[in-house]
Amino acid sequence: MDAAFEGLTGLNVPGGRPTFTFLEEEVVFGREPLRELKSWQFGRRLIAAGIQRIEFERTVDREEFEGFLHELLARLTHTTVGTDEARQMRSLGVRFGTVGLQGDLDEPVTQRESTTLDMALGDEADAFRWMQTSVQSGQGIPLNEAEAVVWSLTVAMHGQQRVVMPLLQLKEFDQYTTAHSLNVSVLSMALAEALGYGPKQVRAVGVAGLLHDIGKVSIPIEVLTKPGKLTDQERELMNQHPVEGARIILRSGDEMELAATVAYEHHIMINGGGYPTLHYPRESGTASRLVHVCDVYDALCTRRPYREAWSSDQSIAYLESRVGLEFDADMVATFVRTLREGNAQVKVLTDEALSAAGRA
Amino acid sequence: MGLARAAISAGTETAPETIPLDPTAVARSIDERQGAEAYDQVVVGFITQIARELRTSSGAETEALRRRTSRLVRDLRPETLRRIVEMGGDVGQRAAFVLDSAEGMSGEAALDVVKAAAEAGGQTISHSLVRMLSKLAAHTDEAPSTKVMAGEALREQVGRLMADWTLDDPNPESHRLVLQRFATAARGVGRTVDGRVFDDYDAVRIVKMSLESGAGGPLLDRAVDEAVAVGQVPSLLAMLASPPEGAEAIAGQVRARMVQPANVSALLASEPLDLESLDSLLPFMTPQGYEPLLDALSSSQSRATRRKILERLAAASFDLSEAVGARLSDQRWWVQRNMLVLLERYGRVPAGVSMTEWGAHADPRVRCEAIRVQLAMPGERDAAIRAALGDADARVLRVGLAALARSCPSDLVGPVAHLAVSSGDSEIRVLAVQVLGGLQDESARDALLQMADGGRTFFGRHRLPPRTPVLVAVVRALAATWSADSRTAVVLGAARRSSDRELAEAAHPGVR
Repeated sequence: MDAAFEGLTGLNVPGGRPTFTFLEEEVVFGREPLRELKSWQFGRRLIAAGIQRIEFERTVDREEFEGFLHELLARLTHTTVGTDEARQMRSLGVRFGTVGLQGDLDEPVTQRESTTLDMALGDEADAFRWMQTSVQSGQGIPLNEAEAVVWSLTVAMHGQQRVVMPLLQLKEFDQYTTAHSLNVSVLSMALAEALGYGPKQVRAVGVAGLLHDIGKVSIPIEVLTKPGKLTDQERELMNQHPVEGARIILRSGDEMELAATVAYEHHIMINGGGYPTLHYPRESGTASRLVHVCDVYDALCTRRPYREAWSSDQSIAYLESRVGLEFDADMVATFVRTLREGNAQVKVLTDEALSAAGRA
Repeated sequence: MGLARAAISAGTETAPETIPLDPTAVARSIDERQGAEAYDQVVVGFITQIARELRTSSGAETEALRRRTSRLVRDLRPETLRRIVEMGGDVGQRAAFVLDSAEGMSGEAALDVVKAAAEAGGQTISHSLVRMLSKLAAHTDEAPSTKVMAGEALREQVGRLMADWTLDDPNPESHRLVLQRFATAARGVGRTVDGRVFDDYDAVRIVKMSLESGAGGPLLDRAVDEAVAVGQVPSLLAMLASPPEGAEAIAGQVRARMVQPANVSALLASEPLDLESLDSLLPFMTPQGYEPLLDALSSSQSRATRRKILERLAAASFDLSEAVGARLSDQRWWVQRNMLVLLERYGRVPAGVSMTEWGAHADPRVRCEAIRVQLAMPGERDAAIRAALGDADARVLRVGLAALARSCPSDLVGPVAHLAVSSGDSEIRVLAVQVLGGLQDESARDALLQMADGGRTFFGRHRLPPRTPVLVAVVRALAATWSADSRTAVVLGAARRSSDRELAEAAHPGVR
C-alpha cells in the first residue's frame, strides 16, 4: 500500500491529473503507452471488471487512495459494494469506469429521455418527501399517501401497451433517498409482476420498496451524502437504518407487516451476512430478497457524490456474480430477464422532465 | 331532469320544456340558492340518489347521466358542494355518498366530493394526498387500460381515507357498518386475487423483528394474536425464553398480549389442550385472562380438559370468587357444580351468594358441592352437616358424615347412630359407624354395641351378627375407643374367636 501510494505521489504529471487507460494489450499513462506493462494480465482483469480508465482528479491523500483500492478489490472479487456504507467509502478524488466517447465520464451513464406529464413523478417525489417530513416529526407513516404514491406508480407503469418502469434520476444528491425509494418501488413492483405475484401483492411490495429506507430519516444529511470514507460511528449510524425503519413502521400501525419486514431485512444477504445481526437466525422473507436485488441495482446505477453511476450491464454483472452469496438466484435471473428481454421498458425521468411537467 | 326541475323551478312556475338541462346552468342555479334549507334538502336528495344509481347501474343512459352529473358537481362552487354534503344526513350517510360518488362519478367530480366531505366533517387531507388523488382522477379520463386502473386506485384510496376518518357520530352503529363496508371494499376482501402471494410473512417473523428491534405497537399486537391463533404459542414462548438484550419491555408486551382473554381462548381451543404453554402463561395471567378458562370449564366437551382447567383455576393466584360466583347463574348443573367446587377450593363465597340456598338445589351433585363449600365457611359448618344428614342422597350424606369424622356435636350423635343402624346403604352405615367410633360418648358406644349384638348362643355366650363390612367397622370402632369397657370386652372376645380373619384382627385395639 505504502509503495503504491508513494509511486502515485511521485508521478510527474503535467496538470497533476494522472490517467491510466487499459486496453487489451496496453496500459496507457496519459497518452503514452507503457512498454513495460505490455500484455499485463492484471490490466485484462481490470477491463473485465469494467475498469478501462483510472483518473486521479486531484492530489489524493492516502486514505482516499486506500478507499480506491478497496473499491478496485471489490470490483475484482465481486465482494459487496451495494450497501450504503461500502459505497460511502469510495474516494471522490479518484474516478474510473469504461472508455467511450471523449468526455463520457462527465455524463451520467444512463440514457436520458424526455417524459410525458403522466409519467413525470414530481408529485410522487413531493409526496414522498412530505412523508419523510411527517415521519421525521414523529407522526408515523402516512399510509394513505404511501399507497396513493404506489397506485400512481402502478398506473404510470401500466399506462401503455407494455410495462414501463419510470425511474427517477435527480441531480441533487440530497434527493437521493427520494429518487431511490421511488425507483426501488417501481423496480420491485416490476420484478414482483414478473415473478407472478397478484396485483395486491405487487402493490404491497411497492409500498415496501417505497419505505425500505425510511429509517434513513434519522440519519443526518451530511452523513448520507458524505463523500469519502465514513467513520466507524457514522457507519454504525448508517447500518442502523433498517432497524430504525422497522421501528418507525411497526409503531405506525395499519397493515404494514410486509413493509416493516422489508425495511428490516433488505440488507441481509442470502448467506446470512449483512445487517442487522439477527438474534433469532432466519432466512429473509421473499419480498425482502426481492427488494434487496432492486435496492442494490438502483444504488449501483445512481451517480453519487463519491462515485459515478455504474451502467445497467455492470450492475447486472455484479448482481449475477453475487448470486447465492448475497442474492436469491431466482430473483436475479427474473430481474435480469425483465430488464434485458424487454418485458419491461425502462424510462428514466430527470429533473428537467419533472420541471417541464411542473410547468405544464 | 328531476334534479334540474328541482334546482331551477323550485318555488316558481316554470314550464317543463323551458327548464335548461345544461349541468352548468343547473349548478349555477344551485349555487345561487343559498340559505334555503328545504331547497337544499331536495337537491341533496336528488344528488345522493343519482350517485347511488350511478354506482349500481350501467349502460349508455347511465354513462350520459354520469357525465352530466359529474360536470354539475365540478361546476358547483366548493362552498355549495360542502353545503350539500353537510345536508346529506348523518356521518354514515355522508360517507356513503362519498363512496357512491367515487364509484359512480368521474374521478375529478369524486375528488371534489371527497374534499367537500373532508371540510364538512372537519377532516384534513394532506396536500400530498390531494395531489395524488387529483392525478389518479385525471387518469380516469384517459385510455381504457389506464382509466380502469386509475378508477380502481381512486376508489380504493377514497375508501381507505373514509375508513380512517374518525368522527363524532350520532349514529355509531350505522357509521360502523358503513365504515366496515369501506374498509372491506378498500382491502379488496372477497375479490379474487390471482397469482402468488408473499406467504412467508408469518406473525412469528414480526414478533422476532419486534423483539430484535425493540419496537412494539399495533403490528406486534396483531402478530401475537395471529401467532396464537395458528398454534404458534410454543414458538413465541421459546422466543421469550431467550430475548435479545434490552428487549425485556417488548417481551413483556408480548406476554401481556398473549394472556389477553381472546388469546387465552384461542389457546384453550387447541386440541389436544397445550397444557405446557398454558402453564407457561399462567404466571403472567390477569384476572381477565382467567375468564376464558372459566368459559372453557363450562363449555369443553372433554372431561379430561375440564378437569385440567379446573385444577389451574383452583390454583389461581387471584381471588376469582366473584367471577366464579357470577357464573352460578348458569342453568347447567355441571357448571354450577364446578363453580361450587372452585369456591370450596378458594374458601371464599362472594357476598350475596347463599350456600343454604344451593344446598337445597334439585340436583344432589350440586347440593354435594354446596355442602362442601358451606362446611368451609366459618359458622356454617353445623348447619351444613345437619343439611347433609337430612339429605336423602347418599353422596350428600357421605359429605356430611366425612365432616363429622373430624368432630361431631353431641346433639348429632343420635341422628348418626340412627343412620348407622337403619340406613339401607351399607357404605353410609360404615361411615356412620366410623363417626360413632371416634366419639367418647356412651350413647355412641351403646349404638355400636347394639349393632354388634347377634343374641346368645345355646350356651349363653355372646353371638355376633352375621359378618358384614358394617360389623367389621363396628368391632374396629369398639376396639379403638371402648376396649376397656366390660360390655365391649365381651363383643371383642367373640370377634377374636371368629374364624373370619378380618373380623378377628379388627377386635385388637389399635388396628384400624
